[in-house]
Amino acid sequence: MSILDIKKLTASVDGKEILHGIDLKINPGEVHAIMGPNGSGKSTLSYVLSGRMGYEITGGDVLLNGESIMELEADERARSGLFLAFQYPVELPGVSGMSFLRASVNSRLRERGEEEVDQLSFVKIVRAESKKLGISDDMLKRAVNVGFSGGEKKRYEILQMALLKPSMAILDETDSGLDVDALKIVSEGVNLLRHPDRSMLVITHYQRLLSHIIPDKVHILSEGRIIKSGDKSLALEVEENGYAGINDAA
Amino acid sequence: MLPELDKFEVKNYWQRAHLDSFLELGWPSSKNEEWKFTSLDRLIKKPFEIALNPEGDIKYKLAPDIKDSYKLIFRNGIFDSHTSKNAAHNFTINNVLEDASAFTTINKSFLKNHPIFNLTLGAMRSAIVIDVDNASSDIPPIIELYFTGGLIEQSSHPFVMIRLGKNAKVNILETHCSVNSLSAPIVFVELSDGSVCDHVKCQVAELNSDQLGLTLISQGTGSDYRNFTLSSGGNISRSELHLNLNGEDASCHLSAIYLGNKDQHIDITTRLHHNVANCKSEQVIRGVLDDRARGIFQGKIRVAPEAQKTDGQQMTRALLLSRETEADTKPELEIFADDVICSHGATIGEIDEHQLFYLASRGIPEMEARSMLIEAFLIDTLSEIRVPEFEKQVEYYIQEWVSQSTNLSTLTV
Repeated sequence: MSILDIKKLTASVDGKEILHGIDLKINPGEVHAIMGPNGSGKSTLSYVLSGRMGYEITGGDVLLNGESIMELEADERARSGLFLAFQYPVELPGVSGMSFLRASVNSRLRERGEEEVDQLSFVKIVRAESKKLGISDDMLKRAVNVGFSGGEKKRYEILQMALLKPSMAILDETDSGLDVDALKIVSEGVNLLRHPDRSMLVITHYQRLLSHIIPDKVHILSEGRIIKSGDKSLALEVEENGYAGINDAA
Repeated sequence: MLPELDKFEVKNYWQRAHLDSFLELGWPSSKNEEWKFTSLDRLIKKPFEIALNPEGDIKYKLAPDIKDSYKLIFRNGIFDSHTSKNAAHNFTINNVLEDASAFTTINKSFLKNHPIFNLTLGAMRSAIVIDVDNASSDIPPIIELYFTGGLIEQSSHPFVMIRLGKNAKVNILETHCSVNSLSAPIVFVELSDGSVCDHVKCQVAELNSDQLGLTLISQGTGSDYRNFTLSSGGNISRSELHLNLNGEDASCHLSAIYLGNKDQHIDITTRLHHNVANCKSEQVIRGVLDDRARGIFQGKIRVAPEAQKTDGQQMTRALLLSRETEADTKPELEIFADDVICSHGATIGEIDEHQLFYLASRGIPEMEARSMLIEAFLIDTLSEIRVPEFEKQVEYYIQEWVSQSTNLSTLTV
């Protein structure tokens, strides 16, 4: 069974249809990449999947671990195992990082009927995961994403992914705003989280992220449709010929 | 409606004169600029009489007790010596009416035409003055003023004056949870030169009670006063603070949080007088309103011609949880000196949808996410409280309010 199964998905924003019928299956452990030019619907797809308000599904279905998530609210989808790493992580002034992380993790544990994690053991877990991503104690003490650099914000997203252990992670333009070193740290963090039971959908504009996170499959999204799918070599093709070349071929 | 005040029996001519002043001017109407946003019509129509005995109890839960405090209990607005407790501290307590100096201070007050000032001075049955001297202990003692109990259809009028001697330190916690139709307490704090006072007021009365409280502060040279007011109780409530900076190099910090739901009307009014040079004042106000509640902040800073080098800052922010709420802000700067720094700012907003979605995308249920964001909105102001015991009290009442707020509870997953 696929982890994520998107069937003939159409969606609109403010009454305007952006996604015109997407079909995509991601099997356990697979990493898929979606590439596409600006305005092709990449971010819309990530928001539609994660249940953001204002993104209306007009047709089709999305199954997560075999069950439709279309009727679920964003928080319920997250607790069912879906995770979105934001292109622009949101600052939460006044919300302490530790209590935010703990509330997130505990919401999932509660959902599964497991015991919530106490503060002390949680701090230990967070420290261990943070170390792998080069996240300092000082950063953990600050309010969520407040005063973080672009790179720090992205690492913090990956830290959340590590703690929440989703079955399906969507990484929305995780490479945007990152310099070479930060890109390396973030990609290594992501690669550490690759797991036979976990699938990933990496949304990106450029090929460069995919030379660090090697995808099993690459899809090209253009004007709300997947116009071509292939293996990792497709990303290189985009790099050489641009999206225009792919469009011509299609 | 207060019946036949002219026949109300008072102990002395001084109180009679205050009652007469009140009767002459009557309740303020909303045509009075000071009361423009706060109509007392609902209060005036209620039948009640002035409380004469310390009686009545409250049913709901209050924040846990503070250890080692000197706790004065006012029941029905009247000092209840049987239940009050004196910890190790040695304060001197007197009756205001027998204290010539207190008398003089009150008579010098510029609030001669203030309705609550006159009504409470005229109607008060307990008027206490506490002197705090420069004690050797490093930890300032805590005085708790606990206004509780009372009978509905009665009004309570307690008066407390706390005088800090030179370089004295004291921390004051007021808790207002009386159930009177009207509770109109006056708390007067006089800070001598070099004295330090952290003062927290929690107004958490039940919704059938109207609360019109007056806090009067006068500061001497180099004194440091810090006030925090939480106002979340009462039907109509107004916390009015008048502060006079009378000695140079004095500083004051006033912060307040108001929380309103249902049909509550919450008014925070501050009147800050920079009377001399080189003083500093800072005001931080936060409000959260739900259902049909209305929140008011009126803040006046007056800088006298001689008060050069004044630094006066004021900032207010309101968070509206429902479309039927209203927040009004009226900052007023009256500056008669030319070398001053004064500023004010105000914002009104809603819970940010991006922030809610971010929390939801992490699996946090909407109700919990909203609570987190409300508490985050208030946390900066809460952290202005320097006394940890007081911060815990306020935190307790904020959490109670957030967990009971109707817009939040209807969103239960």
